[in-house]
Amino acid sequence: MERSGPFSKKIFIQRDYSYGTAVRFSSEFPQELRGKIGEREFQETIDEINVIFEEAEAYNCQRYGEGCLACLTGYTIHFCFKTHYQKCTERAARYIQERNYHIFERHGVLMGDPMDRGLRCIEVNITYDGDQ
Amino acid sequence: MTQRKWRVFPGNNRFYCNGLLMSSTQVAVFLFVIVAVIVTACLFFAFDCRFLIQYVHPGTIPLALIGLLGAFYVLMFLLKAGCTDPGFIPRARQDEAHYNQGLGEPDPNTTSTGYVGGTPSKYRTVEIHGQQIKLKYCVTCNMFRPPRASHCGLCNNCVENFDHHCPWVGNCVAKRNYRYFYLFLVSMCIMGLYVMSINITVMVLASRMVGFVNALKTYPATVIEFFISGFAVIAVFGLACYHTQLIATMKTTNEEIKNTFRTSQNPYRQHNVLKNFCITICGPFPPSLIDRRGFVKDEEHHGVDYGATNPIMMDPEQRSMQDTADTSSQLPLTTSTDNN
Ligand SMILES: [Zn+2]
Ligand SMILES: [Zn+2]
Repeated sequence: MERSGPFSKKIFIQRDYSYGTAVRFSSEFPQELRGKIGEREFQETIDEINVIFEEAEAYNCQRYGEGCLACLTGYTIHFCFKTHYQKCTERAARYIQERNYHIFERHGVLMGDPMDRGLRCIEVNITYDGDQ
Repeated sequence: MTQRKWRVFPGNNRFYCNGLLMSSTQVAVFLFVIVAVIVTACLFFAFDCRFLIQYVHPGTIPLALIGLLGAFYVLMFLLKAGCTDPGFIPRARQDEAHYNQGLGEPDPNTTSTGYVGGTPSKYRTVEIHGQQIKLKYCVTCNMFRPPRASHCGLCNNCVENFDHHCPWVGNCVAKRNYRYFYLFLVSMCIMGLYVMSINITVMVLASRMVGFVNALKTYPATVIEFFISGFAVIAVFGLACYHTQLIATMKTTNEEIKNTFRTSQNPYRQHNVLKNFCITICGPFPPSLIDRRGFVKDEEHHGVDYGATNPIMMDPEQRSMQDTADTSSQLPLTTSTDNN
């Protein structure tokens, strides 16, 4: 099929449920990104996002302590302070922006914040030049 | 044109204070429960505590303080359970919906039974801890429901870790408010028993002073409190036990009722009972996904129109083309370029 001019395409990186319902994204390299960015760069990004979410949902004594404290205050503490999870989602968003700015954008790839899609998937916008 | 997202939220919910608070559309029972708790607490302080402090001993002030603290917790847990986003999953916009459709496996059973004009119902299988789990496609939310999520008919939205839709708190009970709901049940139970035991104490002491019949006449508030608390304890105690058992085995009411794990092991179960309780009650606080105070972007605004064009099954080639076309239904599918 003949194509003229640049065109764009959206792909959605799905969740990886193999470790349960914890937030994890599939680091399988999508075919659409072949030739745009390196497989290693892509996997690095997804792995880092997964690490951030793993930390957000980690169970340890500090988290339990924070949970207990919030409970003892009748959860009024959440009006004043952000939860650990919120900080982590913001960190993930910042990280994705950074990666877009430093690596992806110049290859015509733009990764979205997973929170925009309800943590169901990560939106990736790919712009192809028309001549391929 | 900047509009907050709660204004275009497609589920059956009400929002207050510019999206800060939310509830379902049926709040009458919820308000009744709140009023009953407040009235009982006020009667308790105005009559029982005053009687104990004035006529029995000033040293009974701590009993009143415990009551105050208990009432605070019951009300906070109740309000949190009723006014928190239970874990609604935002519906997929058109672009994602088209993509999602391509992920499904065609299901031979549904072609004969329904969905003649629309989308055939589809499934997608994922593996969780080595177990095959079928994810069902939600036609309303345009996505494959994540594991443990379910579509609440009353809220008309998919909810993460759906437990049940509770008419008493007027909200779905699910991932984000399950702990508040459980703590409400437990605190309600304890406070009900506490108030009842103080009521009995007051009655016994007052009977000694003026006789039983006169005590009933002098302190009718105590009798009213006793019956309200008694009713509350009867209503809540069984439920609290049931949910204690569910938390211990890390199941939801929905899974228990549907007997989801009758043939297989529960793949979401944690190691031991204590850990299950810690995770459920003190674990991380997942954020609200619907971002109700965020602003609608123009791009999203076009995608909000769900009902009109149900995405149809397309091959990936065509799908990508439709994504680039803005108001897709008008444009021919063969348009492959994006003039930007
Ligand atoms: Zn749904
Ligand atoms: Zn509901």
